Amino acid sequence: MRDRILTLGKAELYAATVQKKMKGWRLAQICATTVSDGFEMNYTFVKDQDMDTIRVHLDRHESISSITQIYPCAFIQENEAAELFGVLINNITMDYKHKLYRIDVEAPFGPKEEN
Amino acid sequence: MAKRSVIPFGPQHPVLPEPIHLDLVLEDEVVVEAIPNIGFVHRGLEKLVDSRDYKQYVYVAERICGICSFGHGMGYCESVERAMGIDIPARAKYLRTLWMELSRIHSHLLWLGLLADALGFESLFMQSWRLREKILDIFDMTTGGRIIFSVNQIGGVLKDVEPVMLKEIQKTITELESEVKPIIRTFLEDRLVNMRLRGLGVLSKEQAYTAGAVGPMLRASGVAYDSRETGYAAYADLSFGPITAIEGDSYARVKVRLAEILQSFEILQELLGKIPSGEIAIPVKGNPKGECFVRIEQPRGEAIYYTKGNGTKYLDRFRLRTPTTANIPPMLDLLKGCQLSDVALLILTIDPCISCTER
Amino acid sequence: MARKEKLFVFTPQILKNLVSKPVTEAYPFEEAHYTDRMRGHIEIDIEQCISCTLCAQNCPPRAIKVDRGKGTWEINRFDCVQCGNCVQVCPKKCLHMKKGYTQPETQKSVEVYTRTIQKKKFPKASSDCVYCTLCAKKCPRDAITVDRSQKLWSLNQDLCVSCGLCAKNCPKKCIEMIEINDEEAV
Repeated sequence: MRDRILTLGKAELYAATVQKKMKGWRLAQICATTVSDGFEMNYTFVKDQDMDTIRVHLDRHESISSITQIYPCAFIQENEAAELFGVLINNITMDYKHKLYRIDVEAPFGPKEEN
Repeated sequence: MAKRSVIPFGPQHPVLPEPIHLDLVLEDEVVVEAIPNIGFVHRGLEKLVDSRDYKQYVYVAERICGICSFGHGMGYCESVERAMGIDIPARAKYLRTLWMELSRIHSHLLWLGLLADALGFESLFMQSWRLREKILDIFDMTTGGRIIFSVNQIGGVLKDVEPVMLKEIQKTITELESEVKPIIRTFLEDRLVNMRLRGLGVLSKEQAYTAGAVGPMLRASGVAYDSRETGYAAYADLSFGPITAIEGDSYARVKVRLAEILQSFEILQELLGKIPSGEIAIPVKGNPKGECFVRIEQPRGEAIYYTKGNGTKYLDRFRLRTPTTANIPPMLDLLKGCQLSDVALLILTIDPCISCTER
Repeated sequence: MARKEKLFVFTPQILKNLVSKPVTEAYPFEEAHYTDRMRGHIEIDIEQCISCTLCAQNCPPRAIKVDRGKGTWEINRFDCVQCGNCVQVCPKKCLHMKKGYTQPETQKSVEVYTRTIQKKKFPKASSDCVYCTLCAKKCPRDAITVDRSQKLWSLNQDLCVSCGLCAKNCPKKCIEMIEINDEEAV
């Protein structure tokens, strides 16, 4: 059993995800976390007893491309990150465009806007 | 030329215990696509970690869902404890496992009842829930709550189960083990149940794996993965293995869950023989700093808990990926190509828990 | 694999159920039976209460309100989720989880309990103190600072809630709870 967190650059994410897919890892989880200067996106992959989390750091207004081309099942969790945190995710195969949850506030979990 | 039409399904539907809406694109009677729409019961509970301190949040985590309640509390505690590097007493680990396995039995019996109800088999539905009632009575006796127990705390559990109660539990589960047999026989052998479930909604091994299915759904397609084997709580000391089936159809999913009920009885018998005495909690001082991902096998499948502490009493982030979130994409695969009349049954076979999914 | 498919598999069980008793209670026609550990509602022994506000701070749904000046303890029973956290944190153990549920109402309401106000008492260590730091460890609000090397024992009166846990736990029994006049306390 091994749990790891690997921090990668935004550009490396796509290649790393393809590699995980080729090696037979299952996409377990995607989540966004607000940090002081932007977001952290965590992509967790599971294979048998092992769990690897790929972490990508994003600036506040930086966009990231969706991994739904590789793992189609990512669409719910990517939509959730986009809607609750305001992470800009491009090219989600099934983009709900902030209509996944019926909430009034835009990005309620995201960083507080400076007034 | 087949005529295309779109039929809305849910959010209120007799077979659905919780609200989920699907737009079904039909070609005559056959579903060609299903577009899920959730968000009717979103409460933003993950956000509450900002304003409830990490010890209080256990009670919030438990209330994310009614059926997997204990598991959520336990998963949250496990992840905070691992992030803080706390090792809880052995008895607390065993007690957590005890409640978790009882929860699994009660969740599966509840689901079997709902399935029987969806099949129109009322008496089987009532019988499943009748047996479930005995498990709820055990919860009531040991924790003071039938559904939500509030017995978890960071560093252990709040209430001890006394030897008299352990004897009572052993007696009840031994009784239940024999009482559950007629239900199992009915689900596996009854001609009507077989006709509805056999060959319906086949999910191949590859499909299940790449679509990210978890729990009984994944195991019914032949993938031997059970996150209990990662050895949280007392599972490392107990002997069990993942239960699988190869067919991947709805019948296989029922079969796997039925076998898991029996397996849980075995685990419980072993656990009751081994349970150590001693402390049930250790005092916890300080605040969590650091992060941790934890996998817990809920009755519905693998759930992932992530906590991130910053050294204050409020956590930075709590994330819960519930089994149903992972099971919705494979469910959409199942729906493609099925008959309209089978849609309700197929949605039910993933054991959906929408309030978990939306949190 | 030969399939074993039969009809009337469940019929014996149905016949058996016809003559067996129900597993549930016929409430409200029968008295409901509650277990000893039942988490039904919170009760307070108001005269024991010292208005420390720990219960209010640790209530996840924020159902409890404490007013230190007026000596009141309020609970909105319709917000309460019966988690029992207040019972856990109460330093005086004056809160209890009791059997029986809150009666249904058409509107949410707040129940107010008022205690007779006594002068606030603060702990004071006498010269017997050996600076063992036990009182500081037991203090739920971290109001006591003990420095063994400097032989100092000090109290932050703003944080102190007069629970008396320090006096109870002192191995030398040298801590006394002393009434301090309002002018002095401020």
